[in-house]
Amino acid sequence: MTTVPAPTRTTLATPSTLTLRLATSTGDRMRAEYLISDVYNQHYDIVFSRDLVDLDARIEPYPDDYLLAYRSGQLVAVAGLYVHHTYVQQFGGVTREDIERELEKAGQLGAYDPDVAVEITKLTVRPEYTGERIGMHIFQAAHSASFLTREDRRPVLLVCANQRVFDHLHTPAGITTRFLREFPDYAVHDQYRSPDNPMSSRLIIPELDIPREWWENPLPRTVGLGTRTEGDPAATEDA
Amino acid sequence: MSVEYTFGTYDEDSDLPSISEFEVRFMPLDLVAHWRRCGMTADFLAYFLSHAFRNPDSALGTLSTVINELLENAVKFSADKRVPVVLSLSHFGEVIGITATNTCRDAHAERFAGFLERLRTEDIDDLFVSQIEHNAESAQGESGLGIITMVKDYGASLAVRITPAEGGEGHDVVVRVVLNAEELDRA
Amino acid sequence: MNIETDDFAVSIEGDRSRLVGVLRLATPAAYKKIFDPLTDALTANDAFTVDIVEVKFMNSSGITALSRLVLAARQQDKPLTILGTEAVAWQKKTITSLKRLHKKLTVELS
Repeated sequence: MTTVPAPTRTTLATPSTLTLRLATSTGDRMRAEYLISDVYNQHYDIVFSRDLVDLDARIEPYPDDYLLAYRSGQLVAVAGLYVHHTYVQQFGGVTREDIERELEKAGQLGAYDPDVAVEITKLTVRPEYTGERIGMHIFQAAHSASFLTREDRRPVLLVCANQRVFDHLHTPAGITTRFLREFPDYAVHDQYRSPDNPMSSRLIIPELDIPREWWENPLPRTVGLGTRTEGDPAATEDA
Repeated sequence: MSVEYTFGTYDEDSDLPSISEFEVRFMPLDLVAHWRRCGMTADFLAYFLSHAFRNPDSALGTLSTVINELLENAVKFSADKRVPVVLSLSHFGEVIGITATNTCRDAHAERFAGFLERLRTEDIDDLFVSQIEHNAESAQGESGLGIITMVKDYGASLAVRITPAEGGEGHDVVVRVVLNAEELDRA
Repeated sequence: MNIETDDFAVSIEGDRSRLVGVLRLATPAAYKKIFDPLTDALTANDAFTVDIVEVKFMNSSGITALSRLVLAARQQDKPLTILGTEAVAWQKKTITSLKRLHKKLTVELS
């Protein structure tokens, strides 16, 4: 009567594939949260909590939604999404007026509601899988309508990261990021930011700033992985 | 007298990787000496698990109830109250496995195997009623009512293995209950 | 009649009784002290109501004890009402099954 589902065991063949899909079940979310906790604790000495969040005490909030990347049946990368309370608004001091200002400059004030915002966060690749461009694939998939929008949600996209991430991920990808505010100092980011690598909150207006082929890429989907290369994005995108 | 009985699909070496593991090991005497510790332990383990859920409050009631029944049985039916009982939680993402291990008397092993055989072959709603009627007449224990409700009301998959105790008297009993995480998370 | 401990409280007034708290006593026998007065009150009245809305947990020994009360009502051919709530897992899941024991048992889940 007790049936524990059999594990997916695929033999590790090269070239391998990466399957990208949204988290839908309790198990999906739990695996995503455990992977994020594992990597963030190791890299930044951070713990997570659902109720008590304190960035100066290195306690981070969990995202609300997740994008998952599976390779050979194993979860190798996740991207999180804040939907209800974004990090940049909660901790970065970003206001409705900041978003409105940038929308207005872009002539998009009527097209987007500054109150409906989501934020990609906690992009995490399992350390033993870096170098396969998995980070780039999940970064790409995270910037898609399938991940960011819902029937009743056509949001603007917020992001907070250090300068190096913007220079090495967003800019080469052709994603425009619009400066909103410097991110205030918190102890939780002390290993992530430095005077020559400052952190800021930025706005991305999806249909204007994200390459169309990324935005329209459907989920779930499976992509081929090449052989290992150097220069994959770091294991974590932001803190 | 020795009993060897297996109920359900008892897969000892399931190679499905668990995401989360938690185990408590204690002397049943500790709980017999202070019975409230049963409920306390069940509540604690249920709280521990409930954090992984979106609706922790809704999961909590079921988890605590199921864990408490397993715990009470393992304690009550331990032959030597100084031989440790082990209660372990394994979270596989889609399902949660809760396993209680204890050593019981031969007579209980036989009774328990008999009860499980009825559970396997009879209609569970009828068995529920018949056990209640039986309990009403006997001054004794509740004869598996906890296990019946776990399966009947909480959608638990049950697996049990009863084997002669290794190098000693009595029988080792391993009861494993598997709960569906998605169902627990439904508000 | 009232019983009050750290974990639970029982009160009876005429043809109504109310249980509150966590009921996880060790054996069905341990529940005698609680349920005997309920059975007496049932016997003394034409119908009886037990309010368990605020019973957060009740173990299977307690369910055995509660079903003994249901069987007593059946034996005396009297209507018995159990007031519970959907918000508490064990009530929602298990209590309605007791209806099979006695035709005159009403279970009302709020």
